[in-house]
Amino acid sequence: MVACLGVSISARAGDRTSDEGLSARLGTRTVALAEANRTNWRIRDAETALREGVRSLGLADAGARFHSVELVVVENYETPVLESRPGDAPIWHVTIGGWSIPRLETSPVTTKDPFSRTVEMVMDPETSGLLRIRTRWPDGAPRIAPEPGGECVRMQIEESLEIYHRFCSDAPVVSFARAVRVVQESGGPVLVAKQIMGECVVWSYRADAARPVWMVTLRGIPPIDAAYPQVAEDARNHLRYVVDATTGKWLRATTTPQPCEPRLPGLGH
Amino acid sequence: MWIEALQTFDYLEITFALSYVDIANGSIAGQETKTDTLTSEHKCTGHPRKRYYVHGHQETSGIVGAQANITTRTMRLCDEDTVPAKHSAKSVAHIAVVRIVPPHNMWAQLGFKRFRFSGAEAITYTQYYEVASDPTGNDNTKYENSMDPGVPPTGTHNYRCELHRVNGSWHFYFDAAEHVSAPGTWGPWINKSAQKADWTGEIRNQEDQMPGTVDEKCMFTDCKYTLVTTTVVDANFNVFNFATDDANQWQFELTGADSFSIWDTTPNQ
Repeated sequence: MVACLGVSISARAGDRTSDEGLSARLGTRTVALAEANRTNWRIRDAETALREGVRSLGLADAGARFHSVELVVVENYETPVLESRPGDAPIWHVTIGGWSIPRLETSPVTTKDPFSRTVEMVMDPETSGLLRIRTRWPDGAPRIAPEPGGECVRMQIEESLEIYHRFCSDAPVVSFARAVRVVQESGGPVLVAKQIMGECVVWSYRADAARPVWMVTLRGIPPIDAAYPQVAEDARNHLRYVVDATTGKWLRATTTPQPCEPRLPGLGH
Repeated sequence: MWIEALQTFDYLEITFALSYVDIANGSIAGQETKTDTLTSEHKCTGHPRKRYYVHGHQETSGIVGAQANITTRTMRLCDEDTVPAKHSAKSVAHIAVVRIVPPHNMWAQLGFKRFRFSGAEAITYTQYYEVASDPTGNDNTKYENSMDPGVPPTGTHNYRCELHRVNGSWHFYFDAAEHVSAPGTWGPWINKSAQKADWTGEIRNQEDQMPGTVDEKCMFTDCKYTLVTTTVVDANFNVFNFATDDANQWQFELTGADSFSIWDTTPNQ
């Protein structure tokens, strides 16, 4: 049914200390798909995909920013909801450069995002849902421990009594830009975060009912003070905020998941 | 060459944009960003590796839990009106259990805190828990710091933490209901116990307000700890169970065998 005419295959993430980009991290290959096979899609063309991406960032249009759109197949979501999407379903991969996060209205007008962020996002053509979004690590910024993924994350999430049920099946009421704003308003160090990531998932915690949420992860933030400072900085320089994707309410924040390497293999605990 | 400071914050990191100018014709010959560290004088007298305490404690073998009623207070932070924040700051009231295995202590704590990251545009006031085990940077490292949004209601509330030694999991209770939990099998805590229970006021900078004022003290009452035998023991304090990093700034008074109060003598400085 899916006419995959794979024309190129991106490199898999090998050197995980470099910022290889979301496309390579996910392990994607580009595909071509005839218009006739897109009849059930809400996002049928690249222009619509770009428009959705722009909207998710809270922008009016892409303007003069660098942008690109391609149809790809994700081979590895590295998310604990991997099983919720068929491996050969095409998705839109949108890249937009030059994104800066607006200051809060309560901040001085001189407040600005010190980074010009390049944003990569993948979205479901059928639902128009933004599945995952990630800004590239700023050029020249000191590296931190690699972004954890896959089985290591799944185990830690489960230990925290959280469940990622599936990706959001519809475009969330709350945009990614709004979710980031909620984190800002909650005291999250958004502007100084070197990297911002988001995933829209249906999530539950403990006995609470499952609901669509934005996982907004800030990486490369000022390390949280630990009671004893011998805790590695890489254990403390990130926070994952959970924001209700329907109401915009901040639900919790946590340093889980922790870096998986060098705990792998065996996870050690 | 000229250097533009893009951001300076008190975790001793500064990012520069460097532009190399051809002095013959004034054109820009190249650009790059660099990040470096620096030390600086600032209004908040704190250090990433130091905190200030006033606390009560009991030390004995076989401790697996602690509890107390703590009066909710709102604490002012150093340089609070500067936005975005130039300095990290925090003020905390918590109960804690510490396994002393220098230099790699392990601990669990539960309480409320008002804090902000350097670079943040807002302050966070939240309930939280923190657990660490074997913070050595080896395979057994595990650290979790989680915040549940929402200020604890005004008045006095019960905080309790409890180790389940069979699987090494920590459980946290707020007003008797299981409030937050850091479950799972934390290997280093399996069949272990601690030697110290703490009831603590903690700040990051000398200018952060310790919980309580002379008129509205932060009260810790009904302080108890739990032993491996599941026996719950009254704290039964004496004056030697208390300490302050500076009696001129942060004071305590014993108000009963299991109760004490703390306060900041100069809360507006």
